[in-house]
Amino acid sequence: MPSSSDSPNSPSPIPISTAVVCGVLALATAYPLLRLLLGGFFVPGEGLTLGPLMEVAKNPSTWMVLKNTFVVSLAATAISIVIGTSGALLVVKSDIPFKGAITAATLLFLLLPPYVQALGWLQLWGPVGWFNRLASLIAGKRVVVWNAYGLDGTIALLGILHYPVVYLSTMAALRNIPPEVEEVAATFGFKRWRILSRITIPLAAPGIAAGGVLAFVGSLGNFGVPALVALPSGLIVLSTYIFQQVVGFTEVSFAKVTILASLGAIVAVGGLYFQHRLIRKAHYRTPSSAKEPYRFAIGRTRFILSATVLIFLGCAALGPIAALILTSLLPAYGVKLSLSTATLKNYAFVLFGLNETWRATFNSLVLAAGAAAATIALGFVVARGVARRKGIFLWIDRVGSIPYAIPGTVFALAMILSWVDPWLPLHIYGTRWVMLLAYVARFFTIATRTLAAGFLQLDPSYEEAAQVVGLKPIRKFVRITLPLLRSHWQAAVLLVFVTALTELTVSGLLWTSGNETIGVTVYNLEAAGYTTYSTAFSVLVTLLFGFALFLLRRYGTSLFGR
Amino acid sequence: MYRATVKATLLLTLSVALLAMPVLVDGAFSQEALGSITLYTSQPQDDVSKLISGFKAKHPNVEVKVFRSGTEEVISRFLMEVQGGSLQADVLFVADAPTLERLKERNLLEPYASPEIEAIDPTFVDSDHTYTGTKLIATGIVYNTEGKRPDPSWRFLISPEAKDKVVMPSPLYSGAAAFNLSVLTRESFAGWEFYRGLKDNGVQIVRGNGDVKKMTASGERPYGMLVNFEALKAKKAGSPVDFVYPTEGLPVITEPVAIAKGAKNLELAKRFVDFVLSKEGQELAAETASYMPIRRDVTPPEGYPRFSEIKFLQGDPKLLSQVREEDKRKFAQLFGLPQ
Repeated sequence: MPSSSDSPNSPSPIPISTAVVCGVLALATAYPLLRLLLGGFFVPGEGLTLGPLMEVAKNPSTWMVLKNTFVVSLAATAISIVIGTSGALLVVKSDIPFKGAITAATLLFLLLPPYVQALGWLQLWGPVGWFNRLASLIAGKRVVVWNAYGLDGTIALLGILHYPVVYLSTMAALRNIPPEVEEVAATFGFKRWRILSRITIPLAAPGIAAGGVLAFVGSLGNFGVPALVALPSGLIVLSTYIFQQVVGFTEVSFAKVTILASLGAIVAVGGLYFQHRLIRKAHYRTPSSAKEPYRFAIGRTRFILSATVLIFLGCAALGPIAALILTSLLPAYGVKLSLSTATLKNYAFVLFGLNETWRATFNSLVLAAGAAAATIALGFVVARGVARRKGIFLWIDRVGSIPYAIPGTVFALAMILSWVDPWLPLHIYGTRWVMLLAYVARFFTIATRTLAAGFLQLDPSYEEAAQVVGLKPIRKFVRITLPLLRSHWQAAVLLVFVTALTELTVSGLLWTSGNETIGVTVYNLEAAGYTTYSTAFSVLVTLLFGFALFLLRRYGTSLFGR
Repeated sequence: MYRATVKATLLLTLSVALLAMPVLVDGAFSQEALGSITLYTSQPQDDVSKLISGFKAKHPNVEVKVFRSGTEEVISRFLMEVQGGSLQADVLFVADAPTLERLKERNLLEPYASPEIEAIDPTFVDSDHTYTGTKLIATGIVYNTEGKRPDPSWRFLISPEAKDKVVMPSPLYSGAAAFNLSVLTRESFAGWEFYRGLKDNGVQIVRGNGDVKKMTASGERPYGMLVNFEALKAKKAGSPVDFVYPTEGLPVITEPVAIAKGAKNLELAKRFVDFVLSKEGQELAAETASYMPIRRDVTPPEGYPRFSEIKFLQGDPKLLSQVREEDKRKFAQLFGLPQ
């Protein structure tokens, strides 16, 4: 369905693929956002008014919150980029051992919903978390070396939370660099650092920047982490501030919610614009490569490096998972864990005592697969247009990033508002289709960003050559584009699928009886106070998917390093 | 290259096939029962399931559809549907009297005087019968049993003994906490002085009751302001926590049940409300979910004090619904939070 938008001898002025993309995104993204925006200027009983806008603009809190949000998101993005890029460089471009383990750990980490990860994080780094308990044991009295609550903790957690996105998209970009480029430089006797900084990193820049923008936009829209880690220290960011307005339940408060969300959207679109500017300056195109990437031999230090990465992953990613596993073994929250108190009854309950488990898992699998397929298909068309700097696609791309950048609760409210009283005779409210549409809107930008990085790197001459020899568009797409961008679309499928599988905030408002998802079930258990059950469920999902990844690896996907 | 192509095609096809599945599944299961109602609630999933099983034992041909989420999410979705002119809910079973008072003011609730209200204290029933309390959820002091048992007084939380050890839910995020704020600041033994004292004592403010429970159970903050049934449930499950009833009185919310104006199946909605308020329904809730019943003729489950031993602070729902936003603003100002 996608591709072939711009062949010079194309008979119709608007290709079908573009029309389909515009149609789907109009329904999934543009229409709900428009309804949301209208809500900001239309107060029931008052009619069209600028009141809420003025109220938000005049309130000094708005600007303080925006400043906090900006600081937190930017700093978190910097952390994601540093960790993600260096991880990807080590795995793709060096000869360190345990590459498969590093990628697998990263992906497992991505699988836990942010809210659940924040819980694990606090159990590890909180004032009475393991780390401080260990420190207290060593010091002989109760000490708090580092308290995860507050600005630094929020930034660190958000940064770590989003590094897998940068890691995967950078990895895809690095894989596509043909080894000859670096080999030639090495033959001329250039030092490793020089090759790395002058050739490898600039060539992978589209991938790094794409991941960076996703991390930025993701931090902007995240609610779970600021609610759990920032709120107790009095630090309020846009997403928590918006929720504070939602709880007001007045007509004016909803108008304020949409205006605040629009502010978030402007920041996100600004981020994207900045990325385009950045990439435009760095204009590197390479013939794509199906060959093994060039690898730097780093000698004996490679073991030290590998150990460092694994230790980092251990502390940052696997530590919280381990904390969660331990919690899932507790008979009740707060009980001290020992061999005599540990129990598997939480697992037994989730597997056999809870009606929703299997239905929710099935629903989530279907929704995640649907969202992945749809966003990748849309993403191919849009990403290609973006790489060729076609105005309309640049705008689709910008607007398409908004649903991911605003808090999920707000986007879910926009979906409800749009589909309970649709402008079109499409009565999908209360069905799974609304959830699917919401997923597509929300994760569209993940697919597009990742794929656009691939197209930016790709030399268009391949596709042009295919056209010259007269390959039909679909054949051209299947035989040329798909294989050339293999590492990119695989990364995109994984990212969207995994993120959608445990999605929580949007589903939490849109589900109906029988349509519950994994995220909804975890949230409902958590909200009912059954933390031990909800962590057991999360751990099970992670293990299940870990197993699936293991199988994938055996059947040879390029994601695990060759 | 060829294999990769085949693999890619297979993967895409599979995804599209999966994508089509919701249609098939939706089609297969959409057989309607004789009648159906839709319930919007913030009750824990497990409790809802049991309540519905009990209801269906009496009315086997009625299908009950449920939307369950946090109080804030449920009310948001309800209001959004109202704004869109297409309300899906028939019965609302959520939050506190002041919140429902607001919905009543906007003419969103259908009055219904259930015959069951005879057995319920009239202070828990709306005078116009638009909503009726279903249980008593009182906020008091929770503590971690590894530490000292607090005195049964709200003053304990602002005493030097509790310095930097107290956690409370934020009125800006939790409706129940906002209710406490409005009630306590209007009592002579507490007032704004009490909240100022909490601030000076280094209280930690978290999002909701769930976070308070976890923090006290883990010992991170040994004392907290929490609803009694959460503390009781945690204690029953084995968490090292217990609950103290301050002698000055406890703010109590009643999680009312109400019928939405324009309910599609009014008769069935009424039967559902009857069941929730009936002796049988109340006994079921007390037994399965450890809720403190609102009916005088149902004994509270183990762990609760007797009805007469607690002083309940209820406030006037109408007044409380009007002052809530202003109180929240003052609270934010006091704690230096954005408002």
